[in-house]
Amino acid sequence: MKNLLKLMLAVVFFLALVACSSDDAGTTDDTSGSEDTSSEDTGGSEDAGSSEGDTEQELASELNLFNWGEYMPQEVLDNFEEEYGVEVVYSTYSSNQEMLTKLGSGTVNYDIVVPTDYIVGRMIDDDMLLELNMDNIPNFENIQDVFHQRDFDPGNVFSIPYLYGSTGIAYNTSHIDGTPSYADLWNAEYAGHVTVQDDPRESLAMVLQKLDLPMNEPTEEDLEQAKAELAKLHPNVLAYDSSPSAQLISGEAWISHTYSGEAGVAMQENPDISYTLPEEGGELWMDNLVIPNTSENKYTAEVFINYLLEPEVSKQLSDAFPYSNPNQGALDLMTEEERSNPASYPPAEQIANASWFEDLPPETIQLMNRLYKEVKVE
Amino acid sequence: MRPKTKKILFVFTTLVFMFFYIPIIILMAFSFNDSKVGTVWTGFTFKWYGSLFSNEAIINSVTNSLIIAVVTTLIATVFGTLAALAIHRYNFPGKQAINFLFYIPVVIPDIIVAVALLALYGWLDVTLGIATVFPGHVAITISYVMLVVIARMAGLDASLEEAAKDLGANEWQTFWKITFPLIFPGVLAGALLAFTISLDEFVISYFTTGPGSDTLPVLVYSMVRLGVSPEINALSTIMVLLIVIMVFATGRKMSVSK
Repeated sequence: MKNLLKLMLAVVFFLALVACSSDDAGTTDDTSGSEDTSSEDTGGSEDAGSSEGDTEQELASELNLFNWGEYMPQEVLDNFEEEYGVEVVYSTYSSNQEMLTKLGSGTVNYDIVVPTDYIVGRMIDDDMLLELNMDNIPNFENIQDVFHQRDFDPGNVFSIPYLYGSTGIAYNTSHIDGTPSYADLWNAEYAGHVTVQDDPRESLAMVLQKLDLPMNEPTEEDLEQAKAELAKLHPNVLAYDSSPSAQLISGEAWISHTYSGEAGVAMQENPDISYTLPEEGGELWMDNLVIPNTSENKYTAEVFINYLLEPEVSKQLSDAFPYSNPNQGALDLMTEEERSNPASYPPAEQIANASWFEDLPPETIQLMNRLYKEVKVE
Repeated sequence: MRPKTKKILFVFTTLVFMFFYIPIIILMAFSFNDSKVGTVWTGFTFKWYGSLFSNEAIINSVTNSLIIAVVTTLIATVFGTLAALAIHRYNFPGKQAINFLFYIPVVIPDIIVAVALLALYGWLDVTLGIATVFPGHVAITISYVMLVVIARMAGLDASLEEAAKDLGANEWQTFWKITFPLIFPGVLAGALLAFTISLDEFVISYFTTGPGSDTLPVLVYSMVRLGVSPEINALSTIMVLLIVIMVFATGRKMSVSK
């Protein structure tokens, strides 16, 4: 009897193992399946002629795109599928770190990802990206010159601008006269109506700018000083909130340190809201299209990037989501009203005055996290 | 009970239920809100329900979540029940240790399972997709099913099975005619628990989904950058209603089978 039981137990465990490994087998089947079909010529590749020296000129049947959530309208994908016969498998992530973790594990074969500027620099240093063949991306010339050749990728060898935005001040014009600066957040008259980004890096960068200290390479003393200044702001603060659009719309918040996208959402619903980059600078970010070295369909990815840079397509992106478009062709298609929206397109001199986020060493980030928590606890 | 005590208990119970249900009711109400921003009421509309069904990303992720939850439930229920039977009925060397091993996945943080799986897949050169989500979900749900079924078996009268065998039924017949109907409420409860856990599961899915296999919780989380869209409120409303119907149906079935 006892032997029988042992046998039964062994069978149960064996079955469990088989169940697990057959799941894995299913996955490998999936991928080999897609490899088989990826070599098929699906036609419709008018643009293929522009890259004769390239060995990989046929469009794959599938393209794995990994992008931020709520960042690409479905019609853009559908139109591409229709025009080129390539199925776009679209997945989303919520942070650069998540995307890096997945790519770094070597278990995914994404063809395009969309990292933020300073993350592109890190990915280039870590050899995670493939060089772009610019012959396949002639539409790159549509991108405004200001956004070419950024520090993290001089020469745009690896990355193409996607959309950008800023962190600045959203404010309610019925309560605040003139154009506010970061210093106005400390104004006692606005006590209880101020919101600050709920993010150590963002909020401390704002204070550093206000104190005229270096935002991208702060020393420990700089940060301690910024912490003390942030603590002084505390009595004014209604909320530490990275999405204060609801408070702005309801009129609870008068002046918010926030993303331009959030301000854009609030402006659509409440005409009293405006947005500006402060005289201290403000911060800019830009997300970029890159091809990670896990990609098996580099040519198709380049065709897709080129498609995204077409003025009409690019305009669809910034129409659907409240971010700014670096594509001059798309800007030309917009109405004067859209182009002069201060949340989306701050004046050129404000852009020039603002700072870009750069990658910080982990110790500095940890210190920022700790100081920020201390302010919030106190 | 004194009237005063009754009153206090009534107020207390009401407060507890308000605590449970008010957030859900607010969420459902805002699925009919005209504004894209979740917390300002601007007017009544059904448009989010319409755009929900044309939002391919959301529909895909719901489909993925349901496929994963159903398959996970099937696997976990079968193996969890088998394990419960083995542990309940028989004594064998190492039983304590094996029993203990079944408790570990219940207490171990999901993040550890998730990171371990991701490392394992990396090592085995497996490409992430929908199939790579199952092992993690099955691993955490089997134990729950087993614990629920074992609890049900503890109250089982062993003489019923003996009587069946005494009357000439073989092991197979005894199991399907006697044992299974008796433990069925436990199996069903375990299956529902497994289904719910798998449908809700975020951390493991977050690390083990690949191209095109986002589950609903993973997709919703990725939307935080722009604020969660009211389409999600609409979807939640539909899901809450479905769950309420399901709970009523199974509640009835369970009371009938008792």
